[in-house]
Amino acid sequence: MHCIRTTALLLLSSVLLACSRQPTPPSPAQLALAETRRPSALQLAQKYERSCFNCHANGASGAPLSGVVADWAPRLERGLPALLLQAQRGVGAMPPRGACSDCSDEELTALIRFMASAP
Amino acid sequence: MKSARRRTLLKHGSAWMLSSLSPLLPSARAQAPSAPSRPRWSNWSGTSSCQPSSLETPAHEAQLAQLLRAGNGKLRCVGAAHSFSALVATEGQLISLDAMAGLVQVDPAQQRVTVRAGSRLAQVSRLLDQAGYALANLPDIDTQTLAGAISTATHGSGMQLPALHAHVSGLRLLTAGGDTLVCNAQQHSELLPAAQVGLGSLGIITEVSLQVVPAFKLQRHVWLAPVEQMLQQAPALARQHRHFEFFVLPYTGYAAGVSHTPYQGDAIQHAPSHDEQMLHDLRRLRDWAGAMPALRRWLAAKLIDPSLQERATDRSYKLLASARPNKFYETEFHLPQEHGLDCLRAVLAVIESNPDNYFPIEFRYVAADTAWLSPFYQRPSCSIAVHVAHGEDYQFLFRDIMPIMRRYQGRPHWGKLHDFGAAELADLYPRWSDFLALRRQLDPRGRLLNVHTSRLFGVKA
Repeated sequence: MHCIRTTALLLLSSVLLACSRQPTPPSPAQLALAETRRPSALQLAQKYERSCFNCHANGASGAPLSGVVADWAPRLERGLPALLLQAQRGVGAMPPRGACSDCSDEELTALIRFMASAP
Repeated sequence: MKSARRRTLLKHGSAWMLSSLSPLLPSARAQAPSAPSRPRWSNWSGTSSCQPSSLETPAHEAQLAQLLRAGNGKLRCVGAAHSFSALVATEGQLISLDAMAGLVQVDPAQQRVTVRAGSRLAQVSRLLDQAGYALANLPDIDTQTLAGAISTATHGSGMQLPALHAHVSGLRLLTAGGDTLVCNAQQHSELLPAAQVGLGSLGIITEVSLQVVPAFKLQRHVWLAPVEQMLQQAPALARQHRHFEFFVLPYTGYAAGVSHTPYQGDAIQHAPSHDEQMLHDLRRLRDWAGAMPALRRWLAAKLIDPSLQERATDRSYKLLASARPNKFYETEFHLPQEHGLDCLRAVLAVIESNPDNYFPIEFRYVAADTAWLSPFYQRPSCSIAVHVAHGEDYQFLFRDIMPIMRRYQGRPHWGKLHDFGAAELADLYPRWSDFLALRRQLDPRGRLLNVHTSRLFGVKA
């Protein structure tokens, strides 16, 4: 009886831990890339710096990193309009319009294009 | 194998505890500027929403003043929408200061900077760092706007370090009528301690002057200890370290201590965060063994290796604050320091009486200040924050946690969930009636009131 209970507990532990696989963390090079990129257009860069940078250049945020194409590729497969819609509505911890209340849809699209593109 | 598993969980845990349980990202649920219909807005956590008559994003102070003078209806200002309480919700105009962000001036002689009010804290930190300065302390989430953070008495941790608003040496305030008030040591100095924490009810802040410190680096240390041991050592640890806080992990018997001390070296060692993975682990533990608390504790004891530690070194703002990838609900109360640990024990007992709970409880120290509506007004404080995962039932915060906070003279965090009203707030704040009188003077028609602040102030919306 004791053996059965112990086995059950160990099995439970295994199940718990099996569910604890962590995603691959970004590499230092990817983080450095994300931290240094800015859009070339001044107004867009200001909005990016204020509203996007804190998550899209931060490996702890869980957001796709700016300039890290591998982060964006599966999202881009759904198409840019779908990504824009997500940005408009918010997704995960990102609030609607990506915390950029003064961004037009055109600017949101430009910001997505910038972040999803290779340097 | 077993050892490796333990190590994995602990590594996640230690990383997570660093920054974890606190606020996160901003959220301005405003409709596109080009949209023709009334916008919809909700705060980041989804606990408050509204349909304002319009969303305005003035680009500069003159434009904002014109907007205020042109109308006479209700209006509220929104920062990053991170407050859990209903401070923002309005059916009148919603004014975002997003377009009013950036550094205005650096005064090296006074070690003072002036920043536009819509700047996000993270942005402020980066701008200051480029100029060789830093904020003396930061909350563990830095996506809030500067104006929103000071207006709600947002704070970090440190027994000798006051909340952000205590470093405000001046500000520009536009009244509801569109008049500009400069509040600093030379002009309207009597208004400054009221305007430092104004809940967006005295006017709209357009610029903030802050005392800053030379840019500095910190060393972070994270470790685990049995809960009671951590509670016993906490006051000494708080005196010993520039920043100290800890998190109690419900149903595990452990607490995680987090200290930050000044670091003079050149090494930058900042491991990737596994915070969310740890939350995932704790949640799994709850989901699988929640109905059997003894089993849950047994599993936690087997899986957590209390000997492992984590250290990191980096620039101050990169360690003190972080972005959070998942939403949650939160309440937080500030207590007289002498009551803090007793209150925490009472809170923990309630949390561990409900097996649904798994989010760690956050305990911090904050120095006293002199802002009239600061929860730390003339009171060295301990802060206790209780979190609930987004989408789960958080009504127990009101039902079970707030009575405990009342018992220990807790003052609510203005930006977090609470149900306090005018009568009891008047008892908790010595300058309460002075603030109300000033509010009436600066906004006689109550344009800046909404349902929530009307309840706080005991006036009609």
